Amino acid sequence: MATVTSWVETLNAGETVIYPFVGTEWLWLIIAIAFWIVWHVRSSASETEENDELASKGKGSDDYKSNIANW
Amino acid sequence: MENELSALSVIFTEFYYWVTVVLMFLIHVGFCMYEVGVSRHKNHLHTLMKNTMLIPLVTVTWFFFGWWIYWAMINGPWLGTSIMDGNSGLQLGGGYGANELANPMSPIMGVNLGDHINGVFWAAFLLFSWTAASIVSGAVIERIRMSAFAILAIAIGSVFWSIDASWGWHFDGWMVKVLGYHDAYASGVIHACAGGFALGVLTVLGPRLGKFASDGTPRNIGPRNPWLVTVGIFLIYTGFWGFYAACNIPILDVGPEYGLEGVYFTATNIYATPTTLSGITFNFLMSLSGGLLAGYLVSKGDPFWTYSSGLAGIITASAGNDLYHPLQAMIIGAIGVYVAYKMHYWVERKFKIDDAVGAVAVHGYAGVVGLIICGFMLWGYPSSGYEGYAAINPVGMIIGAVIMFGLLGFLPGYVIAKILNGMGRLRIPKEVEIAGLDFNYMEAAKADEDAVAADQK
Repeated sequence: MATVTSWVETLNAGETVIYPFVGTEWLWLIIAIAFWIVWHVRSSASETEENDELASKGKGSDDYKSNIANW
Repeated sequence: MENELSALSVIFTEFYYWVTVVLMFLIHVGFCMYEVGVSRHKNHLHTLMKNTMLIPLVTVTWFFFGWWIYWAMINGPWLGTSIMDGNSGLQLGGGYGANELANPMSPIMGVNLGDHINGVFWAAFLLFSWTAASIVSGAVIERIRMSAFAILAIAIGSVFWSIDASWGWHFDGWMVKVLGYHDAYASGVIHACAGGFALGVLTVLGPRLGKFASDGTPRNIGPRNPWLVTVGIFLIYTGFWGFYAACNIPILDVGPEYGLEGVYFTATNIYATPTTLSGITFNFLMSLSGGLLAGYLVSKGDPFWTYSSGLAGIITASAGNDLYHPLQAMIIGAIGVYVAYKMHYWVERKFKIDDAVGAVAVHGYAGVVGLIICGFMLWGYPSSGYEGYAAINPVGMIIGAVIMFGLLGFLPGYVIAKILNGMGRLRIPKEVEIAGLDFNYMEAAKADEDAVAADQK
């Protein structure tokens, strides 16, 4: 349900909070924190996987030079 | 807003901070360019991503809890007493309390027609948070795990710098009241703290492979792209202008604040003591120049150190640049650069610390020197216009420097890095460091290039 359905009524009433779903901020906060924590867990796991795969290649310190692209 | 004049004042202040935020974004652009310029080709993309991803990570945590910490921790807790309501614990109310201004579920943390300042003020502080994290980012390039840096960035950007700002960079902060701490443009609360934090992390992280010879002699792994470094530093200088403006309150009637008869409109620093944007512009440029001149001399014209020294000059003079004479700012900037440069190489040789961009020197040592000098230069000045505050003094500023660099900088950086290291999560595997963090990206790009070229034959 829209917080504002008439600007005239909202402003005349002195209402200042105009974003949708006022009162559900706690729910959005929980979702946002969960997303943030999941991001750390998933990205860390992905990084470990990538590092392990690269480490297993046993490349030397100058091997990257053969991969320098011209574009 | 009650009338046209108050509306103009509010909208001007809102726009003022918004402009500073946009300007300060250039600091981060500069840091990205600078770090890529210093890193080796095989690590460019990871270096860039590390510094880029601190933006969302510090931003969301600054929204979740960083801003709340700033407003909540002003009393230590139990080290000072708020002038707002006599409270000495967590400051949750009293007019400017954490739950009134910074609770992430509060209606004031969003589009609210009754408030025009909280969002832009939050953002201005947030950009300082990015800077704090970015200072650490440069020091640890080419060997730290991204996931470890993510945690460290949040720790310095949304927790420890927030605590130190609450203590020493707030009109009601206990360090200001009890110690007479004065740090108008954040020599300590950002630079010394982040520099100390970086040193704590580096102590545990260790040097890049090959940085030190077997007999302990340091080798120079210098900037690989001097042009990116140059443009990056110039962008940091540019953003620093915005930072200086953001540290001011652009227009405030200090009359009723201080109990004066009548009104007295002025720009003030973060402590609500008077200064002028014009005056600090003198000092910004003169301390930049003092730093550049000293850096050129002490490094014998080394471009990398000369550019960094411009920054270090400003950082050294920043604590008192709201009050110094421009010539004082110039000399103080030069002194800070000399000490920071010498300290960098002494610490590198003595403790085998590999600070890839000189961040600990430019921000940490220069910031500490700036605080100590400020204590002597501004000895006896009131730290606030409110009653009952200690005057600025050398002892208070030296204690403040220890708190900023050591207690809230080095110590947490060292402890968190130790924990991450103990879990095997701090440093990338040796084989990856040798191959280069970007090896897989580069290999895939080359394969794509070859495939496209084959189709075009």
